[in-house]
Amino acid sequence: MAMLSELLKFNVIDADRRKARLTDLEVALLDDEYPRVTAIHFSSNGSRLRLEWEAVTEVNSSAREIRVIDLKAGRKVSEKKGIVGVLLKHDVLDALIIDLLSRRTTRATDLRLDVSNDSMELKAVDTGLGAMLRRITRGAFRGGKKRDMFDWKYVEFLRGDPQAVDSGAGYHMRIGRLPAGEIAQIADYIPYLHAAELLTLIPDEKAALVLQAMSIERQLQVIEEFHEEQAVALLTLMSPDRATDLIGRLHVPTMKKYLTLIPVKQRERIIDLLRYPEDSVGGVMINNTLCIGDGTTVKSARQQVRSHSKERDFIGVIFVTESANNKTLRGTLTFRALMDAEDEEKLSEIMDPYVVTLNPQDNSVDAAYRVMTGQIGAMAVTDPDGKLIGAMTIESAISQVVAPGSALNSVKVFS
Amino acid sequence: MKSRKEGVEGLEPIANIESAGLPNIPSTVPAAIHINYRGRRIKLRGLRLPPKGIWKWLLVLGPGLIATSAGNDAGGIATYSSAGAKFGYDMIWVMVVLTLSFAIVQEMCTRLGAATGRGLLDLIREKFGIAWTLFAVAIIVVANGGVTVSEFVGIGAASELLGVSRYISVPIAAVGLWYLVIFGSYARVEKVFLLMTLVFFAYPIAAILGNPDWGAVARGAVVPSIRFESEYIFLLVGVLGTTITPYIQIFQQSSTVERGAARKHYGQERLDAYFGSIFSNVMSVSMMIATAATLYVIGQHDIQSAADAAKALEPVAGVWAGTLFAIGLLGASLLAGGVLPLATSYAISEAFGIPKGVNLDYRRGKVFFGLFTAFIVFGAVVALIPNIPIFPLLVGIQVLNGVLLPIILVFILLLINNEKLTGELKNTKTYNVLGWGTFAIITLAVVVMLGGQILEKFGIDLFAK
Repeated sequence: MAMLSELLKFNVIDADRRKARLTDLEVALLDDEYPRVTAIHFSSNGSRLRLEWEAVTEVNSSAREIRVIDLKAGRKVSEKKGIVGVLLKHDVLDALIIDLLSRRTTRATDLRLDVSNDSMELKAVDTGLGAMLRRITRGAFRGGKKRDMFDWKYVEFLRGDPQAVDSGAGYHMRIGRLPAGEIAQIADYIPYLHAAELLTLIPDEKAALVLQAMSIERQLQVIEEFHEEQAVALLTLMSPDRATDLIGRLHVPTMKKYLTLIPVKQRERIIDLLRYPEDSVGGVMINNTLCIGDGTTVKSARQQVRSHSKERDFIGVIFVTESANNKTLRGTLTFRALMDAEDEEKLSEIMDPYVVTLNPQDNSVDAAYRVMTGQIGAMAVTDPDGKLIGAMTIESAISQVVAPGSALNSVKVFS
Repeated sequence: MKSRKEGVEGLEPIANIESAGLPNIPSTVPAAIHINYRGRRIKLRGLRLPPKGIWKWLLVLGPGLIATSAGNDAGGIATYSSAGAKFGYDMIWVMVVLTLSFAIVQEMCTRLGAATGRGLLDLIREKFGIAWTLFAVAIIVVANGGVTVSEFVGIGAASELLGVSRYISVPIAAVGLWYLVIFGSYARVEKVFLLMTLVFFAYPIAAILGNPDWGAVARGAVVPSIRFESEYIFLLVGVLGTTITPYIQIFQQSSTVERGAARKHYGQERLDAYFGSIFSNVMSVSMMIATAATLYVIGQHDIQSAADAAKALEPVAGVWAGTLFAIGLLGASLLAGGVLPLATSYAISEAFGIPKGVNLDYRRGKVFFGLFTAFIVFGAVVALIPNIPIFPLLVGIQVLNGVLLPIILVFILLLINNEKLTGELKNTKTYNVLGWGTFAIITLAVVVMLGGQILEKFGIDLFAK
């Protein structure tokens, strides 16, 4: 084992005893959980040179030497040219990293590598005070605590470049395994370019969930960093109410452009919601509710729920209407009641006809309290003719009453 | 049948209830835009419509105005008042020249924040390594800790001038500032800080009450005059160091980041930086004019603190002038008393990659808020120690800030010119000329200040007494 700060004091020596100073180590982040060093960088006669790891014959820790076949085989590199992988000193040291185990950010103060004669592997990141002292004292201080070491396997290293993935940069991609809300919590306080980069590491469906769970200010910064195509894909996958909040805050030309690019169904939902002020029920409701005609049998209703469950944002409450085409509200039905009922029963027999509704122009906070104190999963929003136009869900209600900036602002657990 | 809105809803089957007949779509949507969709003209909510009228300008203001105004703190008021009392209108031209440099530096920090989404210490750590970062953080902690104490001393002194004991005002101010940051969002903190800047208008009014010779003021502003006297040179360097201070740059960049500025639509933030610098220096000049028109004229040249200036103004320019000065000092110290601990907490958190920001909830921002709390408590407690020797402390702090300032300026200039970081927002040639020019002036001033102080220890005076 050796620390990068110590390795950077090593000399590179070839068979003819020519000597150069090691300046950096290059790794291929994509190759393994613990990336191997693939090249060494050294300076010789004022030039920055690179040698493939295959040229290394021995790493002699006690003599602080890396022996290579021929130093002259080194190829000149510059910051823009000749570097294939990631440089440990230049790119990783002092960079912001995410420790997935503790779900927090920190800075890589030193790096621990597994050193053997024929290979070097990046094993851990040292973030402690000991590492700082080690670097400042140029290795005179040798202490450090084990608890400050983060296993590289559970570290995500971000470059602050949202286009880095497109340029072939390597990542662990383990961050995608965390729940969307936890990723959003991290993305909320790291620099916005890092947050945008983070989203590119996650499959689109999850990225949309993460995006809508972030604070609205952060959503805006992030979406503006994406390519048009990427932004439209995420807006399409977001729930209509959250997509509306975001698109309503975009600069007007961008907003108009995205509205033309979003697929028709989602576009119409968003345009519909954009017609209401932000502080009204219409401004916070969802409008892709699941509604089924009251003459439908339970069996058929279950099939409809199954086939529409993916495209609907909330299926905890099913709204029973006069028919599939006539959205006049007749009653509501919980998901549980639908599961409990007999196959041949009709919805009109099992639904709750005593429904309380909201008007889209009602104040959103007052309505939120009605939903929460009434302990209703979702309250129907109807037009003057009693036709269902949307629903205020318990999630929208919570977001209306919690303090701005709270993590509960974007809770999405009932959907 | 009754209307749905009269309470029958939920008691009768919905099918039997008649509608209340409220309109479905609101007739007015705030900040509306229009689109044509499927042959229909639809009015939509568009929250990013450019504001109109006075709001267009007011909504731009934020980190720039706050950071630069915080520079007019207790120490700043003392320096500017002293400059006016000692040399009349002779130093106003310095402020005129300095305004350009100040605006350039502040704008670069704002641009750096918007372009990278990172604070100054974030970038210093990433691009210049741990040693420079620790050096900067160490100086920032010591210097800002000391200046925070001086702000609470200022709050105490101003409140006593207004008839309230410091043992009441300082704890109330500390708790108030702490509560504002810990329990507020960034937007609220920004609003309160912006409101606090209104108090600076006390200085132009005090200046007018002093009945200055406006012709002399104009001459002082456009005709440069340098006296090769040690007092003049040191005060000139003091004015420079008070106007452009590291914590102002750190706060401006970090708060620009927290405000959510983004590189794609950078523009308005620039106006904030420019306006803030001009506003702040107009206020500084007002302080100079107020004391120059009153104290300088009657030969009362010795002003040690902002409170001294307020006290001295009363018999000469009237009770109102003194009271306004005291109110200004209270507001300025309060503002800086909040900004300094925040800037320090930002700097430390950025250096070590700790989650930071006023918008964080306490659970996620324990270290950040812990640091903020520690600085507020330290400042308030030390300020209440009787007979604390604040002036020797401030001289030491000035030296520390003087050492750090050129280094910070070099970092800012190198970072803003790093195309990989800032892309299209990198410096233009004109900016670079002005930026490096500012660096040269500041460095010269710091060398003169430090050199002079060192030589004085050996009994050598560079300039005439």
